[in-house]
Amino acid sequence: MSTINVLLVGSPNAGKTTLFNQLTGLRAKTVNYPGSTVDLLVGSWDNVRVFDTPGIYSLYPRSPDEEITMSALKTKEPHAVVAVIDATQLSRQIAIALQLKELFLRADGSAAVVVAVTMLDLVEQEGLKVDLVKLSGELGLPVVATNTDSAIEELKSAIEHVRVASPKAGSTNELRSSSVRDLRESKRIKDLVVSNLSGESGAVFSSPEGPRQITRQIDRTVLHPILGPMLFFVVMTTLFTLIYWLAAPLMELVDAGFSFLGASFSELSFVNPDNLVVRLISDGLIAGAGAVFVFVPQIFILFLGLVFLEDSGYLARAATIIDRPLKAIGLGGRSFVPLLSGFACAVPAMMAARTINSRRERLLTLFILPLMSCSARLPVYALLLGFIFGASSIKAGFALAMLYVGSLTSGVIAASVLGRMAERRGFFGKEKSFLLLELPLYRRPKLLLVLKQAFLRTKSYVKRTGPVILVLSVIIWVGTTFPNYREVDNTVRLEESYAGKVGQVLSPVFEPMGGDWRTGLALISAFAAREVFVSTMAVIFHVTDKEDAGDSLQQGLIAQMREAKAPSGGPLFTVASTLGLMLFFMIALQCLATFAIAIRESGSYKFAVAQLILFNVVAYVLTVALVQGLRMVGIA
Amino acid sequence: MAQTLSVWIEQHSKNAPRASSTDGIELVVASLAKASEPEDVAVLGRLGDLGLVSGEPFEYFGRSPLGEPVYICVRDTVIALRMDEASLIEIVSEITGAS
Repeated sequence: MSTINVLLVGSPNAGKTTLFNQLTGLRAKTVNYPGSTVDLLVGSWDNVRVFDTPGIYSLYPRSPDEEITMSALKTKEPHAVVAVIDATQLSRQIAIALQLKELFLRADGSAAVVVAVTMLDLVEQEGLKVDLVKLSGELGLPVVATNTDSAIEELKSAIEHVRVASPKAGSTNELRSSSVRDLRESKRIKDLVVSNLSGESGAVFSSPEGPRQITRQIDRTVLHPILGPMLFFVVMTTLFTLIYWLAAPLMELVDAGFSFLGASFSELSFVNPDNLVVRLISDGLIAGAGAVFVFVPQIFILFLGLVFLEDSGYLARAATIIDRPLKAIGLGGRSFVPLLSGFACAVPAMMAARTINSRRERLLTLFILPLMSCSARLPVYALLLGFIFGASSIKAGFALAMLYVGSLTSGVIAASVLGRMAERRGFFGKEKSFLLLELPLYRRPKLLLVLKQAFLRTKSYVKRTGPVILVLSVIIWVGTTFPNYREVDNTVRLEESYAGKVGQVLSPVFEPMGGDWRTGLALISAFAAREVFVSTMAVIFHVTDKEDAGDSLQQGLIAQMREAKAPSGGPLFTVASTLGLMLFFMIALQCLATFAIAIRESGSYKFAVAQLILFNVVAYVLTVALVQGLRMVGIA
Repeated sequence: MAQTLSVWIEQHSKNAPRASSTDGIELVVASLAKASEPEDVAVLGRLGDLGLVSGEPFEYFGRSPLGEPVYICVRDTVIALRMDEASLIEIVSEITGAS
């Protein structure tokens, strides 16, 4: 039996993903649509492979997401297409079914299109019903419901019935140049097929207990001039707090797990611990995998929260509330979720930026995302703040809050400056930014589906970042281990390593920012992942867990940092140089996983390279200015 | 008398309800603006896809908490749009001044 490809096509919020899950159960994976960065969900039953596509408002694409769906329709060679139509919006969405029929119309008047009507339960709650038989007659296409198991079986057999034997590329028809006629037809058909319980057709949604009225009631609060922004603030603060505090113990667990794995691997008694292969695996591969997986709990919680808010219908409202301030700096309501995600990790945040339909807004969002204070910076800040403030956790906490404010401020400045430059030079495209955002009816999210979506998105994150971080970890392991790999003393080996040599050659670069070759080496290794800065510092300054029993690694490291001497003879780590390092971490783009994703998501090497160079140069210049400025006013 | 939705909103924003009210004000699309700039084509296309075509009735709900975007309901769908987009929609006049 050969494989049959089926595409699910429909409006955003029409229930495609829910239908996808009903059809395929819990087996699903994301695939890259060929030639693009967009993930298509693919699942299967029997010999049928089914693809969930990005939502469209018509077959005339107006955003990159929609273009993906269009090109999937034309080049994926589907055997059949399922038009997924929301029963509460028939007067608009029937048009999509009409357009799909036109696209796949054959000479005999048939088309390989099945119409699946979702949300029938909501229509029933309004006290209305949809005559699916009549709808099928009007459309000339098979129409099925999706609200029961038997309906899903019916859908499957309908697909089998209409599908073509072998699809040929280019067998699609050209569409008329306007959708106005389809919309008129759409309304005519809707008035025919929707009736109230007494059989009167052309009924409208007006039941006081219906979901539409309930949604309006909820929106009275959610979009209230005063309560709305307050609720927005509470919801986002809660999500933000969950990302950090709920994830923290889980992240420590993952971290400890990988450290234990690495340590026990290198201590296996039956192999020589100095064996290079063992060291490669424990210090390179296991440590690298740890760097990838340590953020998984946090990113999973982030996705869980976002999918939950999205499925409930709140996220669209939130975007409209925050649109005005974001518009002022050249962004928009749709930039909000990516920017918020950026505080966890820039990689999933950049992936989330795909839903921004304006190219200029999307590129601007992608560009400033690395400035958002991602959680990989936290261990670095914790170390440096611990150095400056010692045991005073209140001062350190306040300073950390300032770092977040600084991150937001730098983002705002960057967006305003770049946005204005982009407008003048036109390098992010000349197209206008627009906001046309649908507010779906509120629905109770289905827990299992939310979990599954969050899991799939997390998996996609691991697939994207994993290889980059792993390869870099191995490269940095090689750089810090060779040529003197037999040297027992870690600090000496590091000093004489290739990476150490690079650090020494570059030390004139690091000295103006108050560092020396050792700081430089730690900064270079941070390109694998920012938090690697801390572990490299620990190796450079000869701190191990065993020596300072009872003391944490961080306190041991801080003690060593206090004693480290600069080439001039004075202390290496001062208030000025440590503040400088924090400023550098706030702005610099040191994360090569982000760089790799930026190439894919912007579709341009130039964009990602410009971002990499700009942020690092600006960070360097500002750091030097800060450190030298502080020294001039007497703060060493 | 035809005027754009954005002008109408500015004129009515004092007595028009905020988004927190349940009842909207019924309006009718006269036509969509002609694309004066090539950049408007995608926006106009999307407005059309959403059902904002000549003669189409829709409801105006009010402004979002910070003043923009504004909320309208067309073809059973609530949509948020900015004043820039609202300026592309010409309306006939209000039919009923509900609420």
